[in-house]
Amino acid sequence: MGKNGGSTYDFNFILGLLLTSLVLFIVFLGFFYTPYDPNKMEAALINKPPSLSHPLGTDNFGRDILSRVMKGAGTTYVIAAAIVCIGASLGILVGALTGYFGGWFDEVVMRLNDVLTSFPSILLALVFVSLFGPGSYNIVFALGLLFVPSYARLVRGEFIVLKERDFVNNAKLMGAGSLRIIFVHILPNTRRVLLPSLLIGFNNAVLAEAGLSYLGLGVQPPDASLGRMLSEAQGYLLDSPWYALAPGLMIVLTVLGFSLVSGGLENGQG
Amino acid sequence: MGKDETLLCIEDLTIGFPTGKCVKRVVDHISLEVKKGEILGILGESGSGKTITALAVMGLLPAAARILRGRIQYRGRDLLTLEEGERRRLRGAEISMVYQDPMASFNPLLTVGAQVEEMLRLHAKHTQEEYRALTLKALKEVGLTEPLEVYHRYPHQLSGGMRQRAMLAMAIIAGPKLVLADEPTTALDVTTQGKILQLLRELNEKYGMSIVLISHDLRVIQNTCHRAIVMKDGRIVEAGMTQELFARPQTKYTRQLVAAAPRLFSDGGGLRVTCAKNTSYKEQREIFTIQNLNVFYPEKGSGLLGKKRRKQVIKNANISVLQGETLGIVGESGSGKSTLAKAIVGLNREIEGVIKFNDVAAKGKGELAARPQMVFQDPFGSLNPTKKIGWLLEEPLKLQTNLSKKERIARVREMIRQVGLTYEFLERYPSQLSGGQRQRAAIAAALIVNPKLVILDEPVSSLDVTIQAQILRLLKELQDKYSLTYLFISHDLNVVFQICNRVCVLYRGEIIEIKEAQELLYRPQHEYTKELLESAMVKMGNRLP
Amino acid sequence: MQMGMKGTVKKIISLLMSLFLTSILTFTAFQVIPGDSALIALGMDATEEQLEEYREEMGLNKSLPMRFARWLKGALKGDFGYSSQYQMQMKVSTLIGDRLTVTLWLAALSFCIIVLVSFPLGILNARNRSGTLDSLITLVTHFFMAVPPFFLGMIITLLFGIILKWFTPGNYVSPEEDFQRFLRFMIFPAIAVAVPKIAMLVKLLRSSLLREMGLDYVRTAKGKGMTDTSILYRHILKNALIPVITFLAMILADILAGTILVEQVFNLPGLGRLLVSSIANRDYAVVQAIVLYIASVVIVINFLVDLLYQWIDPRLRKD
Repeated sequence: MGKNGGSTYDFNFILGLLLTSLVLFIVFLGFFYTPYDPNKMEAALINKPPSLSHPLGTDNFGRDILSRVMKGAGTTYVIAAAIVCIGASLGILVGALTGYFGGWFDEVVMRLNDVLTSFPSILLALVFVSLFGPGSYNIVFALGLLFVPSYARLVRGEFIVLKERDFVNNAKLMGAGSLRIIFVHILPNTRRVLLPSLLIGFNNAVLAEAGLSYLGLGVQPPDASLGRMLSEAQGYLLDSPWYALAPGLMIVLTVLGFSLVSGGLENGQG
Repeated sequence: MGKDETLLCIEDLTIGFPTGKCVKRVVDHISLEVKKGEILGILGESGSGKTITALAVMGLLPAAARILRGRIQYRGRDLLTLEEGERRRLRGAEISMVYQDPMASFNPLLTVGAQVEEMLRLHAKHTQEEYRALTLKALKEVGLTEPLEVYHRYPHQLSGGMRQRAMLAMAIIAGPKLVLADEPTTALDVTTQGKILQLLRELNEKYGMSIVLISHDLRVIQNTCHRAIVMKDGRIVEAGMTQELFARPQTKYTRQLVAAAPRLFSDGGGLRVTCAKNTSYKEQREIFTIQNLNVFYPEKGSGLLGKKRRKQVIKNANISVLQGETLGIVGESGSGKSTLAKAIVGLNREIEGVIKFNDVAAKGKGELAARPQMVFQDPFGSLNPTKKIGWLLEEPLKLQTNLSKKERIARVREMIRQVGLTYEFLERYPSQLSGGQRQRAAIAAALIVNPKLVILDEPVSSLDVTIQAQILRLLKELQDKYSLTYLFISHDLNVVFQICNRVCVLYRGEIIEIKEAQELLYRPQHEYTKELLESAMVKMGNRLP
Repeated sequence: MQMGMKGTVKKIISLLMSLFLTSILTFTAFQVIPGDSALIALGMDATEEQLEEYREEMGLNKSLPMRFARWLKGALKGDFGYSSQYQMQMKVSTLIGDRLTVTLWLAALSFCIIVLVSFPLGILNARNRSGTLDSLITLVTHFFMAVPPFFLGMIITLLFGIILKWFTPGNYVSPEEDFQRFLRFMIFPAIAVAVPKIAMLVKLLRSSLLREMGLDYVRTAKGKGMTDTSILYRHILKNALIPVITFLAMILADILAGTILVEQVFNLPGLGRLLVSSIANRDYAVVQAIVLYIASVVIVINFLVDLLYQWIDPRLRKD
């Protein structure tokens, strides 16, 4: 069964890798080159359907949608990556320390965690934005902090199991100190659950950014981001449906690619 | 329906798991017969195909397994060509099975009573009250003295022995003619093991039920079965009447098994203890002593303000260990053996009393002067799976010595040779090693810093018997070479008597007896020690002198 | 049994503690906002007397704990003061009450769709195990999980609203006006919320069922001579539901949050749109009330799930 499952999963895993490298390529290209200036408005080109010169058409200000998707996806990715970095590094630190040492510190942090996770994350993000105002930096900060509890919980759970294992006892007998045990001996053992969760975290961050920007609370105009573009496109669904499809599909392909890769990793691929 | 009627007849059975293009055969041209009223033993190490054979008879093979050829006939009917509905009617009513792991084999969400009764409901028509009465009767039959209470319990609320009995009740309640018992005693304590085997024999005598007993433990088979079959790598190596078979084994493999099986009770009525011949230890001084040691297990208080409670696990222990000896610590699971070991090496700091190494006292939370090292039961758990063997061996040198990188590597290479592995293993991860190789690596990691005292916590319990013997031999060699002192913890009396000079019996956290191995064997003082010895004997079909 | 009672009482106490903590957090979070809340509430052209009067009335001159006590007392009675975006003419509670119906209907509809579609699909899928199907299901579920609900909402609007004309986008009908048309309209946003969750639930249910099917107790049941169908319903399903229940609770919380975005797409007058417009208008009384409301619902759901677990899984009952 293992072999069978493995070989069939291969297809999805490879598809995920292909999709991920495709979107990453588009985004990287977008940092250096876009066919047109993504923010340049052209009165003559308002709401034009896809054509040879504008493969994905133009928007309500006559801007090239392909250029805007390339640039906007870049913005979304950078924000998402920053969110995961903040969330994961703090979360791993908190989870490792609380999981390994336990005690009252663990109790307090986990209670706090429980309360925080009882708020749906989009709601908390909205509260943050309403407190500190909209904008990309605030989103990164707010969502980054919101990601801490889930990573802390995951890493803590792993640590609680792993710290009882005999190899940790062995390391103690060998004379390894607590920090060495935590970071050299135990932490590498969490990579099997940590790696897929980083990819899933990136996906969630992409979706969260898109959601907030869609509500007009994230990236501010005229900068493009995938959510921002969707929110602008909403009003033109009737006349130029291609406008909404381009950024929307970009989100779908990104999230699909990453989650297929993450699923493959969980199943021991790669 | 004579006494000699053949119930089950397996002919030329071959079972394989397709992997890619080739098929891995796990059962290879097996033929055997089970007569009415007999107990047939199938002996084999893990992976020998004994469980798969039983599952094939039940029609419960894993989905990936394929029956490649052969026939399984039950009272003249070929089970493999039987229609599914017919076959289902046979399961439980005619042939039933006692599974290896009773905890996993019960549904955790239903009461034990409901699950035992379900078997009856599927095969017999009675009223509600009759079902219940019959279930209670069956529970009583298998020696559960409080059947009504067990009936309403959930599987996790029973002890291992009780679960195994309940599993047995479920197997016999519909009155089957053949019971397949797969390692029914493996997870149990030595005293409970004896009782369960006794029960099997009683059921066999009382109801004429045929039993196929599957085990990796030669003593279990030898003690219980009329006839036995030895399996290895999916083939039948040897078969015959039990006493005959093991007294005069014909094949090399069976001889190996008999030789590897613990010596102590194996040659007829005569007893021979093969304790270490090391007599010089008597002149040696004490390497370490424990005085009035109490060890506690911290229990988690409830919530932030919960009071810190602790449970006493070891009560007032006094032990002194002499230079160069092997002191055995024997006890059933839950007797506190491992807790004691952890306290000695300093992994458990919840202690009161004195632990002295070479006259340097370490009290309570103090640091230990001379570090004893430890070899753990499960080598897979004690070797960090993300590190290579070479890294794992070098780590203690990095932490405890000032050796240069070059010196460390030289030391690691020397040590890996000493435990009988080659340099190539240094570049491997623990998961790429077999169980025996892993335990060798773990021993190397413990010995690399030249400890004087090594605590061996069930070092061979997770290994097959042939490997067990090899590891025990290695431990003895290393002891002579480095003049080591061992503290050998085990639940297996036979292993203990093979390697230990002195033995200490632990019962519910208290040391009830501590004396020379020979002395303990011939003149046990405490009732519990006698019981422990007796159950080990009974399994061998012998009686105490 | 008595210990069981004790455990339940303990859980209720911890529930109340969580609710209290949540209210503290919700309240204090909005105290850090820079600026004069009286000024924000009344607008720039308010006179100094008006401001002072407002401060007095709202207790803004009192200490933080006092203000919290006052707010909590009001909240317990369902009184959250007046909404500033409606020039203090509208009670927050009335405002929320009006919008709540829409959101609750949306949440309930999508939850029903999720359960009704996922369970048969999950069970059907688990009974038919093959490598290719496995792979296909994984791909399909991952795909639907990757579509953000608000984008799906747009696609649905485009497909069913604009192209097929099964409903008129933006033309919401309130349930009092015409219940049937209300439902016919609401079904589309409900689908948008439900689809990604259906994908997740089918995947979880299937993997949970398959895992249980491989366990020893299933073999035991088969060894008793039971049929596969009765094994599935009598033994496997209940065990397989255990991880699913946690997920269902999570889904409920997620649906409540997901409605915020989908209400925006379909222009529904629900809590979510009220929340977004309140944030845009810095109407903190409303934001506080909605946040407290949603968080409390989630906490209570988690509490109920906890109790449900005890009832299903005897291993969790302490004795």
